[in-house]
Formats: sequence, structure tokens, C-alpha cells
Amino acid sequence: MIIILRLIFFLIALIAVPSFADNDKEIHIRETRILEEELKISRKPDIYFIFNLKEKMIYIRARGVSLKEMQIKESGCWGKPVPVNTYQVIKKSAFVEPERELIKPGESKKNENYKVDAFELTDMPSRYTLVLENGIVIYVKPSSEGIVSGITNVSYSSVILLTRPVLILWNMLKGNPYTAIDIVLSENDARAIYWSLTEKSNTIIYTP
Amino acid sequence: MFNKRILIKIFIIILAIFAALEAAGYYIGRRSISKAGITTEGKYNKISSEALMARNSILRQKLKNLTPDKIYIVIDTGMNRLYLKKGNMVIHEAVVSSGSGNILKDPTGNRQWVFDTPTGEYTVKSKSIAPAWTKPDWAFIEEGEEIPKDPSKRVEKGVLGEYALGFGNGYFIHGTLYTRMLGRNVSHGCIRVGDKDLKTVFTAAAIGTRIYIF
Repeated sequence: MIIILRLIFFLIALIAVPSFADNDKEIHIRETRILEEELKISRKPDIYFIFNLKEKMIYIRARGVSLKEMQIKESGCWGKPVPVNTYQVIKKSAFVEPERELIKPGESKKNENYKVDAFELTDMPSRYTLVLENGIVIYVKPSSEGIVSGITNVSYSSVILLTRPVLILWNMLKGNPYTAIDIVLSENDARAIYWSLTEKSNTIIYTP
Repeated sequence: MFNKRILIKIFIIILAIFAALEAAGYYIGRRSISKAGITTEGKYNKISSEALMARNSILRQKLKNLTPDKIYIVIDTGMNRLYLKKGNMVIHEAVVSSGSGNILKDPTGNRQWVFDTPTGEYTVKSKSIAPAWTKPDWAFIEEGEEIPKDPSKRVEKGVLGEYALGFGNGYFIHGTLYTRMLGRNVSHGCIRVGDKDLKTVFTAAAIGTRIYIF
């Protein structure tokens, strides 16, 4: 009986050890790729974004210097795996997009009660979509705080749950790459990302 | 009665097709991601885990070396905050005013200005005490005035505060007369700082000090 048990443990060990080792190596390879990509984009003076879904963090950086760190409350991935690479933002879109004010020349001098209508962080949406290269789409939404945002989030999730499988199937049949990443952030952090991230911003995505 | 039955049947068939598509899409979507861990980058497969770990620590050090060893400035244009930092430590924090993001169009031409603060890495290129402002064309257009032909009529004293740190393309970190607007995005792209904070930043920064704006 003991011999049989030992044999079973030995077989389990034979199967398990290489798989753990492979998993470890996979982690090291992905870490190498992230660091290499970051070193590559840090040669330019522009700000860039690291979406580290494994550590549940978003980093805004420039030249390797961390400028802001934000905690991801929840995240999820659907579709094609994302290889560690630099991806440019093609488009950012929201249901209600903030609009810039057009200054009327001479208005500030004519009107004594003239107020500057600034384009500020609080005007930014907290629920939006970021379309990246390689068919990657990041869906950002705020965490539920209160009844209104709770109901909006439930409705939004229901629509996503119904439409996403069809989108995945459609893209697969058309041969287009498609990866959907859901990110839940605090309202302020969601707005801060929309504020800082522009079309053509570079991002590195590290999926779990 | 007959039509109603057919309609119900059609509805059930459509529902079944939709459910099948949903199930297939769900299965494919979730299965692809669960396979993500299996894919490895070909060129690294022959390298041992130990060698990879060593390589990673070298790469991490290279990235760490990019952080300035001297004082540097970080500006958060969304929160309207300026941080004077050394390494990871914040030495001083100030409430500032950055670009309003508003648009001004030249009514007589095709020119347009967007009053955003530029983002990215910059360096302090000039330091001046009691700076005078050479008003650009947009300043006259915004106020509905004619653009002067005499360059001396563009110079205005006292509006930039006691100090100014230039970081290129006509952008400055400078003082302001509108201190009650600090914390709001009301500037034309420059960084407006209160008098006391400006003195601290001006004293700490040297030519070449790095500025990171996001």
C-alpha cells in the first residue's frame, strides 16, 4: 500500500514540478519583455502608461520615472491573449465626451463678471473605452458608489455580457484580433487616466 | 391563432440561435485568455530561469538609473499640483494653475491656439528674476486688441510674478496675480504658482533640472 502511495506521489511530482518550473519561466520571460519594452519607450520624452493587471496597478511614467500610481479595483480579460508589447492608443471614446470652450475675442475685457470656463479633471468621463492597436479594447468604468452608479454599472455589465460574446465570435470569423479588457477604478482615477492619456499615447499591458 | 404559433416558433428559434452564438462566443473568449499563460516568447525559451532573473535585475537597475539623482519637478495638470522631488521623496508640494484647454481662433486668419500645458519630460532652460512678459499674438487677439507692430509694445512687467523658470517653446513656471484661481485650470499653458511656493521652486531648481508634466 505504501509503495503504491509513494508511486502516486512520485507521479504527481513528475507532472507538477516541470509545470511549476514552466510557469516560473513564463513569469520571468514576461517580466523581461515588460522591462525591455519600458526601456525602449523611455528613450522618448513622452509620458506612457503601464496597465499591470497582474499587480492590479496602473502607472503613469516618463523616462522610467513614476509620476502617478493607481490601484485597479477589478479587472477581467476576454478574447485573444495580449503579448507583452507597446501598444499605441488609437481612439478614446465616451458616451458624453468633454468639450473645449471656444474663447470669444474681447469677451474678457467687455464683461466684468467674465468667468473662465476651464476644461478640468471633473469634466472628464469616468466611463469610457480606449481602442488600442492590435484589436485591444480597454473598457474603463468607475466602482459603484451609491445607487445611481450601482444601477448604471449593472446595466452596463448586462449590455457587455450580451454583446461581447457576439463581438468575439464576429471578430474571430472575420480573422480580426480582438481582446477586451475590463478595468474598474475609483471615479477620480478613471478621470485622471482619461485626462492624461491622449490618442497616440504609448501603453504596455501586462495581463495575468 | 396559426400566425401566433408561427411567430412564437420563430421567436424561439431566434432566441436559440442567439443563445448558441452567445455560448460559443463566451466559450471562445474565455478559453483564449486561459491559454495566455502557455504562450512563451521563442527567443527566450533556451535561456534558463536563473539567467532571465539576472537579466531582469540588470534591466530594472537600468530603469532605476533613469530617475534623476538631483532634485526634479513633477506637475500633475489634472490635480493642479507641483511636486518638488528627490528620488521618491516629495520635498515640497504646491497648488498651481495649468492650461485651461480652451481654444482661441484668430478672426482675421487661419490661426488657432489650444491652451493646453504640454506633457512629457522637459528641463529648466532659463531662470529669471522680475521677468517681463513679451505678449504673443494670441494675448492681443484674446483681448480684442490690435497686434502692435512695435515689439516694445508687447512687453508687460509685473504679470509673471517675481520669478520665472522657462522650459521651452514659450512655456514658463511663473508667479500670478490671480492667486484665488490657483488649483484651477485657467492658464494659457504655463504653470502659475503662488509667490511663496514659487520662491522655493526657483531656489531649488537649476538650469537643467528635469520637469515631468502629465
